[in-house]
Amino acid sequence: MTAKAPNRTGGHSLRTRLLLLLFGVVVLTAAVQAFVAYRTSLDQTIEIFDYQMEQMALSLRKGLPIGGYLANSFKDDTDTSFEFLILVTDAKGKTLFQSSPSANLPLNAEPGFSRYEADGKNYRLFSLQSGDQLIQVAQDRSGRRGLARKLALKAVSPIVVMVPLLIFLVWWVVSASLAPADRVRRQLSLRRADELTEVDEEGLPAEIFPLVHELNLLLDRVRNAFAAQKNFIADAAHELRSPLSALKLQVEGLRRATDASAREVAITRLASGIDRATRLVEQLLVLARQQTGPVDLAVKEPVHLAAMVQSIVGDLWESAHARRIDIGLVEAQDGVIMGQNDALNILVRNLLDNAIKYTPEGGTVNVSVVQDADSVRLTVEDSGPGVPLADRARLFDRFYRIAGPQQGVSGSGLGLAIVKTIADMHAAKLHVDQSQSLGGFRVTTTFELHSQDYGVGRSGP
Amino acid sequence: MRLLLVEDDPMIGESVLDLLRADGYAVDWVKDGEMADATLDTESYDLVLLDLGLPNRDGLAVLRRLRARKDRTPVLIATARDALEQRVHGLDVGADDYIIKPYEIDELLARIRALIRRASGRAEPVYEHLGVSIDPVTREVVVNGQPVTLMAREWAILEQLLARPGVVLSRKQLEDKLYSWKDEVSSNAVEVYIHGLRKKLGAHLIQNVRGVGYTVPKVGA
Repeated sequence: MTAKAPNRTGGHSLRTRLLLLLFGVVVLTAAVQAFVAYRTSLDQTIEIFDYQMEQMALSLRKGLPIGGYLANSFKDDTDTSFEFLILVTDAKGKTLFQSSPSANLPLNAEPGFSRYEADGKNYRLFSLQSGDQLIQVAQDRSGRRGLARKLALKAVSPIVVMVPLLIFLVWWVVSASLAPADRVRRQLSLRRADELTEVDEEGLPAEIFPLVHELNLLLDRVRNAFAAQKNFIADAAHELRSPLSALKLQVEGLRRATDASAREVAITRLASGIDRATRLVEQLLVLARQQTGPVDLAVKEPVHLAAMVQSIVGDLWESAHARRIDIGLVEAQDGVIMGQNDALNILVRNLLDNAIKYTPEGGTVNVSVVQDADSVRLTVEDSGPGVPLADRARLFDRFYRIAGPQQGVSGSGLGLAIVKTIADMHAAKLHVDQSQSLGGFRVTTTFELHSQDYGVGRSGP
Repeated sequence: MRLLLVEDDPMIGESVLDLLRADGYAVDWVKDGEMADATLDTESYDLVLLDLGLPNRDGLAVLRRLRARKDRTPVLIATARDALEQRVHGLDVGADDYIIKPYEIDELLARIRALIRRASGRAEPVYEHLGVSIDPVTREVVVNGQPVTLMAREWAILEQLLARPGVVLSRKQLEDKLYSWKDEVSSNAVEVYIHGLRKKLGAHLIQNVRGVGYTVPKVGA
């Protein structure tokens, strides 16, 4: 058992507290018990002495002992302090019996117990009037007390012996009980910084089990977050390499182009490679900014979602039109939500970009903003090939791209991950299914009005 | 030399395709794992340039299946997966070489040449046989000390034949090495190139094995 406390900068050791407290209780209890035992023993001994004096006086009533002194039951040869002094007188004060020469007892004492002083000593006196005889028995008080104390101390001694024993027991029990906690501490202190495996929950007492269990859950979450971060970096590295590879090869293609038309092709390819790399880097930056930026509630402001969507549809119309895609708003109710304007702008833009990108030429993209009692719903649907059920769950993962008919569309794989991050930030729900009217992909973003900070930001009558 | 390019990224794919073709290789391009698998099962290539992160089937699975069929075609993995264990794993599964994106095209071409050279059982980079030496890097052909200029396809046929002296290659086999899927092949193209080669290099080098094909004899007549 290591009694050495770990170096700490704050808090207190439960063990030390328990030990100090229990030691205190043991010592205090022992002290009170010893005191009471001592007092009781003392009082009882005194009482016994008094009783003895009384009995002796009463026994003398039946007649004086013949010849010599009364046997002194407590007497010991060396100790005269405990001697009984006995004086028997008749009505006229004539001494009938005197136990020793020093037994000059006052004759005027009241019947019963009293005290008197003689030769600088304090005596306890018992007087008994029996017929015409006055029987008096006296004893040195300090002697009585000395003996009583001796006896009382004997009664206390087992308690004194028990105290260290109890203290040892308390120490042992406390240490043994806290051993599992100590074991957990040692397990944790031996860890490397990146070792996030669970702590052994075997044999823990009910008091620390929940604590350790929660710790394990926390470790689990941290481990997952670490893994997610690691995956992100690995993914990002991989995803950044692809456009860079393309750029490198495109430059090489340009360098090796032998005639003007080949050069033209190479330049076009290089330009689109640069666009792609730029888009990826921008999206990565947006994602990083959205994920790591402080969630500052003060930044939230009322956002007119319908107006925002109208303006973004306007911006994107040109590029959609170039691919003969009919993009339009089918419903634009004035839903006002509390949120971050820039972030919501990115969310809407990414959803619309996505729809336009994956819709074949000549297709349709429909956008609607609908408000009901407690939510505002933004729906974007298209006439594209849609997303197979199996892919829907991972659709919002970073760098996840579905295989199939959309091959050839070069996305960063981050658009929907960014949408998810921003939606989470606004406690908005994302739902993905198949468009009823257009047959393609449909994504619905639902902003709960009552869950908005600063209350409901509704407008209109 | 006929290569299979397995690459799902359209930008990388079209650039590599052009660069390899410009270097005289016949290249077929597939964009997902299943297609790669099916193609490798039916056609033969001198080398496979394999990306790992593919739709439908991972590149490593394609490689594993290829090796399970006892196919010894050299495989060069070209991928952005750069972790040590990934590289080790790729080679252990059966790849012959591993190059990490983004790579230099010159390095890629050099590795392709080295793998093809090794696969034909040679270590020395310049082939020399019966007084004809060809350098695959510079494409220089020297006959009895005199440099000779060849057309790209003539060069490709000569390289095939010189790579394995004594082995008879059929007209079909030579065609396959020369052309990728998209190329239009005229029925007597190989004969035309052989004729051209004989005129430039001398009639003794390339021998016609009637009813079978062509060969460069191990020992000169």
